[in-house]
Amino acid sequence: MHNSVGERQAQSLRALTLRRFLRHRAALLSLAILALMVLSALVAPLSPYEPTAQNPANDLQPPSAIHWFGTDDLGRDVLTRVLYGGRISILVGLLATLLSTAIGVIVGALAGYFGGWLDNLLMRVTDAFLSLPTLFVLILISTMLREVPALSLSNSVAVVIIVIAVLSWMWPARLVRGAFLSLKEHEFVTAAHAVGVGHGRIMWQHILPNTVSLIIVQATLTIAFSIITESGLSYLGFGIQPPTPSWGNLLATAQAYALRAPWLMIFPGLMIFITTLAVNHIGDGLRDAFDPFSVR
Amino acid sequence: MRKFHGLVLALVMLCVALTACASPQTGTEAGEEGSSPSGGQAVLIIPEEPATLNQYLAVAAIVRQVADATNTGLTTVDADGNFQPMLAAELPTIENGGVAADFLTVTWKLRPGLLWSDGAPLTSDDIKFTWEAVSHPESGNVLSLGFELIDSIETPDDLTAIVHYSAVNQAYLQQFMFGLLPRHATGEPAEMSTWAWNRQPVGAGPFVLGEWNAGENIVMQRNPNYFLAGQPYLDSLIFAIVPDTGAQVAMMAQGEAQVQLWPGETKEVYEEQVAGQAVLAEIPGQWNMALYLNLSKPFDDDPSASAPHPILGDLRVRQALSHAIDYDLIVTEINPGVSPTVSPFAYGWYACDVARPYPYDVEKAKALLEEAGWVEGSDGIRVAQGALHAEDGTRLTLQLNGYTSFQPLAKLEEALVEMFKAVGIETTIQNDDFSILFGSYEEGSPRKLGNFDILVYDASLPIEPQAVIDNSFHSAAIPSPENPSGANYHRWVNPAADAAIEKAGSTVDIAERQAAYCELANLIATEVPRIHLYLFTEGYGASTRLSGYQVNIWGSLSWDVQNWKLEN
Repeated sequence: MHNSVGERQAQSLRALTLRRFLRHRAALLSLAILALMVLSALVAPLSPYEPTAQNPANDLQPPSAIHWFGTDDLGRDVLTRVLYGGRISILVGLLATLLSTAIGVIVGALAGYFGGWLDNLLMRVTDAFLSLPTLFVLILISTMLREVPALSLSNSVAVVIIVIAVLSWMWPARLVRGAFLSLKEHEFVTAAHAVGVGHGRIMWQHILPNTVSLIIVQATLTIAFSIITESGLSYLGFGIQPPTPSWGNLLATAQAYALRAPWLMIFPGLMIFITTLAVNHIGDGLRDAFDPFSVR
Repeated sequence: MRKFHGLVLALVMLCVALTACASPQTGTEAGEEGSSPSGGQAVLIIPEEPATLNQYLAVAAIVRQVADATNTGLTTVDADGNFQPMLAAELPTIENGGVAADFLTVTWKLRPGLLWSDGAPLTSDDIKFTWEAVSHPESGNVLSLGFELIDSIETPDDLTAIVHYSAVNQAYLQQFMFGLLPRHATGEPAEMSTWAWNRQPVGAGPFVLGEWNAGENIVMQRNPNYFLAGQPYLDSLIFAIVPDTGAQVAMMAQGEAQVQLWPGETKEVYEEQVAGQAVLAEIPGQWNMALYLNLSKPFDDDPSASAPHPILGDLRVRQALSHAIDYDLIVTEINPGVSPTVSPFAYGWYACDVARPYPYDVEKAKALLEEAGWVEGSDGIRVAQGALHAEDGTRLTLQLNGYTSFQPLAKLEEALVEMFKAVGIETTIQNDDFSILFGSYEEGSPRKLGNFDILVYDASLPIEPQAVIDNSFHSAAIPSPENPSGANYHRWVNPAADAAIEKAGSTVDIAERQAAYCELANLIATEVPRIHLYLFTEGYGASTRLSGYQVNIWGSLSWDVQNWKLEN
């Protein structure tokens, strides 16, 4: 009897959260748009054109019936490249966020839970990373990772994911640390201690689940950051190397043709804009949904 | 309501005031007619910032484009490829006694009354100091000018410098072309790479540095002590650092700038873009785009040529690469407006007419690769099976290394990737910043250490090419800890090539030297340490208001800036 009551209460909490999210119209719309983005990226192979098939005689054609987004400086179909680029950019966004959040949670949890000298040490490291000029970090990491020829020959995607994670783990770290600092003082933690539960289990099974909402909201922001940073990296030559398309390197190449062929810039730019806007709105919706005091 | 009107009025007045303050200060000097051609300020757009104004430390071409405005040497080379005296009173020749019959003594006479930009007298001692500084082993000098061939320099009086050579230096006229260094305003030769002079030069050029706003612009004023009376005609120069081509073109089209370096467009497209405000002054240039193949094994901690490259060590593979490239497509569609080249000797008195031994032929390329033991794999990429230097199962994957921030190069690389894919070669692109690609041995630059497959970049030869050729192709010029300044990046060891290079360096007879260079050119084309593609055109966008300039492939953007005039 006790169990079934508890279960029913747990269900209705989840149901409440869901209901609050569903009432956030911008978030719902954004979810639909994001689903559309992911779907279009998945169906990229259905395109009649290959993303790297060049036709230099047909370069810089404006959008037309045979090339819906026009062609680029080597005569490649822009729509196909934008779709394939979406695969890479969304994948990089998701994986970099996963890595960044994982690192951030571990650092933040350790710092917030144990406090003392460990907290000091970890927070100084975090501060150091926060104050490093981005460009130096990029060059340093890129160069270090390319000293390992196996990595450089195979996967610039891996390098980009690592670089973005290194640039963004600090924010989830701080967030999680704050949450752990306050949560560890709560009675349920003291109770667990008293019963003899180990530190690891308390952090992982007791405190962490209470921070999940915070982490998820932060993660959506990081996805947006990742996608935009990937574009920035391409401008500097550190991103995904051509001819593999990504929204970032499509934008970087388009810059030289800004006046002559603006469609090269408009479509990838629009994709980045829509995706990051959608992700941010979903983050808003999630934040409101998880907040029990939100008025909706 | 009244408050609102007042606010609007205030805003409008503020805007007007700001616009008036922001308008550029172009114009003639006070007291001169509005239509006078002299005076004025020219804005020159450069796509990147030079790291230094000391040409002897210049790794990137941009340095010379700017530094020629602040410093002048004993001679210069005009647009026809002939040496002209600048700070020197006349060119030393055998006839006027300036050059000894055995070519081991050259006497330079300076013009009388020369001054540095800070007013100090410019004397023959400065010629001696230039040699001392540039030839010092720790100076950081990167130019191969043969300074090490100088035994001593006598300065019997302030206007005379007698240079004694230990061996014939064919480049004696070029030797002091890149600017003299002032003993009184620089420092110790061993510390040349850290001189304050490098960022604030005291020179003998037409302009003197006023302000250097890092990342933004370099401002120069007329040098009051310039040796040509009445020149320079312009009052000041601003080198504006604008990396974005779109912004560069906009500035030219609106008349905000008068010169745009390396616009990277064909003439028709460019002149349309700048809406008649400027013209593209261009000629076939000096910068020769080529693929540099590493013949030795990369990433084996051994910069020498000892172990062959598993893929490129086999001549048949290199020939196949050469056959796989559609040279016509490159010069017509990929990088339109360039002129095709087959060897490094593509201009000047040493130009050689070499036929391409391995022209575009996809079937031939495939056949050669099969013969070399590279069979087609399941995904279209070849795999080694009985290859000369590679273990069975190795994929035929090569990496192209170029430099960043140059769209024509990026486009060329992508085109090459497709061409190589068509014959079963998988190619990846990894572009690096200039500082990494063209770094020094100590800095661990991949091309110095031999840690690359194929480099792709453009290089040029000076009017006196022997030192560069020797350092690029001779087997003794492979970079190593003992020889960090070596530039035989391909690790090419070929006795016939060595002999041709030595022959070209042993005589002053122009015809004999050219024959030797053409022999070398044929060897390069047939043995394929390099695949030459094309020459960029040299030129810049110039405002219709600007006159007096002449595009010169032997010079730089500012080689004749003392002759420029601006109409109003």
